[in-house]
Amino acid sequence: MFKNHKLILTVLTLFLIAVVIASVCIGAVHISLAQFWSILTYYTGLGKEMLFNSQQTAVLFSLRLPRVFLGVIIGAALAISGASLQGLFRNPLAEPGLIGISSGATLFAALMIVFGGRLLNTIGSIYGYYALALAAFLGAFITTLTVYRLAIHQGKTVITALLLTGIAINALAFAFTGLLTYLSTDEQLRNITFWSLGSLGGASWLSFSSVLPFILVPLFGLPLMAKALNGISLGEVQAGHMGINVNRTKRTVIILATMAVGASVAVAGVISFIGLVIPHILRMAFGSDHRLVLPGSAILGATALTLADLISRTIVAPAELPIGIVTALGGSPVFIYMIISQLKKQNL
Amino acid sequence: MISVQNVSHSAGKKLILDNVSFEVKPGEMLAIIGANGAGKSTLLKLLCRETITVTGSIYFNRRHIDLYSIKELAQLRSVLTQHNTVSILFTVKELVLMGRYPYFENQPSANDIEVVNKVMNETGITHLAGRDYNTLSGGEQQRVQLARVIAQIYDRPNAILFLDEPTNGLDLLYQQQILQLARDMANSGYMVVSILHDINFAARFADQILILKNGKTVAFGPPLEVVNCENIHIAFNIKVKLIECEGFKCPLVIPSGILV
Repeated sequence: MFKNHKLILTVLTLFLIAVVIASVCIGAVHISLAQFWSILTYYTGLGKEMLFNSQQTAVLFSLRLPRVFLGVIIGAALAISGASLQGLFRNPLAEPGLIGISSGATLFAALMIVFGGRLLNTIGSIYGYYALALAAFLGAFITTLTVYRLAIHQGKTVITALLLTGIAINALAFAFTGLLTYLSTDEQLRNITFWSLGSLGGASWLSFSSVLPFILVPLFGLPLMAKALNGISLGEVQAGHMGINVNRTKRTVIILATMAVGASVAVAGVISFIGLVIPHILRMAFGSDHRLVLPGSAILGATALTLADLISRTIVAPAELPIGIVTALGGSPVFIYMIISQLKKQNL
Repeated sequence: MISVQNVSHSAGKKLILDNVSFEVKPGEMLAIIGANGAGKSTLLKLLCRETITVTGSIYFNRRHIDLYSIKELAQLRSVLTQHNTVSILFTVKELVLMGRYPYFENQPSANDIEVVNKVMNETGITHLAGRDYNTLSGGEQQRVQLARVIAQIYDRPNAILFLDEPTNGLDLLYQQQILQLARDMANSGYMVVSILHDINFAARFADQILILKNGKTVAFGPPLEVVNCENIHIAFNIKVKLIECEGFKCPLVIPSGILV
């Protein structure tokens, strides 16, 4: 099996950069590669040529760039939190969306929108986003603890309990979010609907910069847990024998992963399957070593979501497809395939 | 040296271990035998510090077990547990390298890699290095796990290897291979403590045998002293015959019926 981690990560990064450039250039207002290069060099003072017009720069700086950057960090956050939760639950099916963590976050975000009243009069300002991110994080955290309690018996993940808990929590959160829509004003209703569908359409420099810290911390923190997660894949007892502080690992992973999920839900709503499919692809291709899977998931997740967003806003142009539809179309077949292969393994 | 002094343990009101004491010196292999529910696994859990010892004391190399940090303990003793399922895809070499986790932060040192290669060679699994662990047979998996726990203490003097029924579910060849590897570890100066079911294996490979029954010590000593009809009657409730056999230092134990 191919094991040069640095090379793999470098190739993935180059791929990400290519997708980001493509995504920045393609859209209703087309920017050619030469024009993109010209804009880049002109504004960094390296070049003097102006091959572009002012409409293109306006679109690039105030629409495309924040949206693409937001897609990059959210894709990275979703994939890395999926990968680390799968390591913690010792099962490749543990995905924030499936096991109810995202909908827990949505519910709390909705509660914040409806009852946060005064606080969220300032929504649109950076504190509004912070409050929302914090509420979503709290929702994600509480859900994760609940799921963990219900799904783990004597150190083993009971996968049926895990997925059923996910279904139950999704249903419950959906019901409560539905109830909230009756209590909400028109504007609040629009906000809530947006959260439950998932979209990068609301991207702005403000939303990007307000969630950036909540995502950067897990992005750099989670890879440090790679060795401990490798150990935990042998079993919690065995990991303890190997000198791994299992309880501290659990706490850290849950806090960091839910922080990433909460932040993503706060600005982009529920986007499923990225956290499931991306780590799975990496494991199939390069094995399960978390020292590669965690950073690799972040990079490939960023690429995938950027690509999905590019598709969602170009394929039915001038209209826009919710990004959740694109990720579900790509992700659910892989999910079904994973279930089948797990069943096969248990029968053998 | 392992020194266990007057250790008792209870779960709820039930006394599982009752005043057990023994010592293991460097270079010695101790076999713990006894019927199901005799307290063997509980004793091993206390020895590994998986469970905290409340009554009595355990010392490793004259230092109380509770005084070791998690990392120090991981560099002093390794444990081969009974059920080893690996939830995700790892190659054999990656798995053995996990034995070196207590020694490096992110990247293994040259020494770690060298230890892994040596151990894989000594345990005869070098040819499996690139294989996916989950595709191996039960016997091969057990040997890989043993390699992992040996790698964890490989270059540590006075280190301890704990084995929980390491021959469980293996065929005759693998049983011998695993116990011979454990014996070799003892011969090169490590302390080995193993729970075993087969009395004949215990007598053949171990220097000392501890027989437990309902948490109490039935006998503790060298095989020739403790393996006799009476002790086995008491410990297992069965009738046995002892048969002298050429090439075996200890008579072979043959079960011959249930004690009424």
